[in-house]
Amino acid sequence: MSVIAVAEYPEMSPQMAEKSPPLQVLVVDDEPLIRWSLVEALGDRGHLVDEAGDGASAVNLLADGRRFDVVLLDYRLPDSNDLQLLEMIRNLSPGSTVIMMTAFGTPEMVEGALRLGAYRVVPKPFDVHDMEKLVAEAPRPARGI
Amino acid sequence: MPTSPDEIERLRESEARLRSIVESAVDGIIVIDARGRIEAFNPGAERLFGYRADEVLGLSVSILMPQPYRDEHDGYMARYLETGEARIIGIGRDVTAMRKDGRTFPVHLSVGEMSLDGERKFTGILHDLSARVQMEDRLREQAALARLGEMAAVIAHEVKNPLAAVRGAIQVIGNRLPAGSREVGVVADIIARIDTLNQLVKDLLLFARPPQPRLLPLDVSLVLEATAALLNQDAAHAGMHVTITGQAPPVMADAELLKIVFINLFVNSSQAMKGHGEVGVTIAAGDGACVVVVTDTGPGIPAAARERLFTPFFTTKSRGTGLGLSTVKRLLEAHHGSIELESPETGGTRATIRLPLANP
Repeated sequence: MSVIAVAEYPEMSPQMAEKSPPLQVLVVDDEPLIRWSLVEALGDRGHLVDEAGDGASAVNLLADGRRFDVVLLDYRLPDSNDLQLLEMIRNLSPGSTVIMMTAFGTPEMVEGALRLGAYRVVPKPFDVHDMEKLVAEAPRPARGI
Repeated sequence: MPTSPDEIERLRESEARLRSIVESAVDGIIVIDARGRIEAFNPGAERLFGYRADEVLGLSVSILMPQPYRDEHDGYMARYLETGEARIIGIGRDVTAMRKDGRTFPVHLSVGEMSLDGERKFTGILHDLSARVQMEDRLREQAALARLGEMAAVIAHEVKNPLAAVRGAIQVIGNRLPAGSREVGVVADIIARIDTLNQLVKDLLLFARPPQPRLLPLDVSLVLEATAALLNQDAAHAGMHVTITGQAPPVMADAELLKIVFINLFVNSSQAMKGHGEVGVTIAAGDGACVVVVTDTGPGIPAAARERLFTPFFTTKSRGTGLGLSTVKRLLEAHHGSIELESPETGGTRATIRLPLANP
């Protein structure tokens, strides 16, 4: 699947695809269409994608011992409207690269998120291919357990 | 009638006292006769209206009023004398007055009536309301902008999130279409429309909630050069030739916000010149400020638009939000800077921007 994808998107070099083995990805967003888009697009790239519709579900997955290489985390969720959830995810799963998504990011919020260890803050609406690239290039520290 | 020298002296002193009260009054005091002719015009009135007393004594008081009040005044006086129906006399109200140079300004006018030697006279006291009205306008504008800012933040979130959903989903669907199919083009068009809509929301947000500038000393000519180069890459503005001359010490500014200011001005010039023409930029320093003058060779500003150039949502373009120049003004004011726009007789449009120097 990923070989075909490389042929479709010449801007993504074969080397890049090679360096991008299947990753465990968690998409946290309350908008089902956004979850669907990211699950499908990243799935097409060969990644293994889980999804959560709110902060509590995401935290439960991590608390149950699930480990993700990359977490795509919406800033505003039904049960979260600040950076506490990010902090909690960073504590529960320090090895995960967290990419935040936001429909309305103030410079203060972006700085706060980066300070708490978010890898990037991506404004909504985003280009799905950009998200694929970000996930592929995200730093992957040696996975624990 | 006074007879004794003492009494005459007392009367003279009394008159001098009254005269000095009238002459030292900050407010304008104007006395007119029953036909509306000016009989007295104190220094306060001279300051307010820009006329010397000797220029207006004997003239109709209506020259101090803008239209339509000027034409209505004589009829009003006649009606009052005939029927006693008063609109201002004995009451007082806020009115608009006109200076010698034609500028109008708000005043509170109170008029008292008196009878001198059997003749009816009217004393008007005029208190300048310009500062108060300006402050009220500013407060009203700030309150309106604050409300707009709150509204924009809510709209931004409630619009951008669904835009992200639609854009993402249609992109995934598009990726799965057979290469070269007609629908691939349609999907690209849908994405382009979504991006236009997103840009509109971003423009609205930038105007309604401009970010706090992060001020750093920077060379304004570098920002101008980068902006011109950026626009020239766009086919729509490739025919615009920007020439930058002069220099100034560093200004205190936010490079990103300043770029938005110059992009807006250059795009306006380019569109006015239909994508082809000369834009001249001169940079100079003066009075602790960096002065950037941008001139183009376009048709200039239409007369009907001049008063409303910085009014949000006002536009002369067939497509446009009317937020460009009002955003430019807001961003410059956030830098403690300013902008003036004019259409000189030599043609084109001239924008004069002032930004504070880093070390004035």
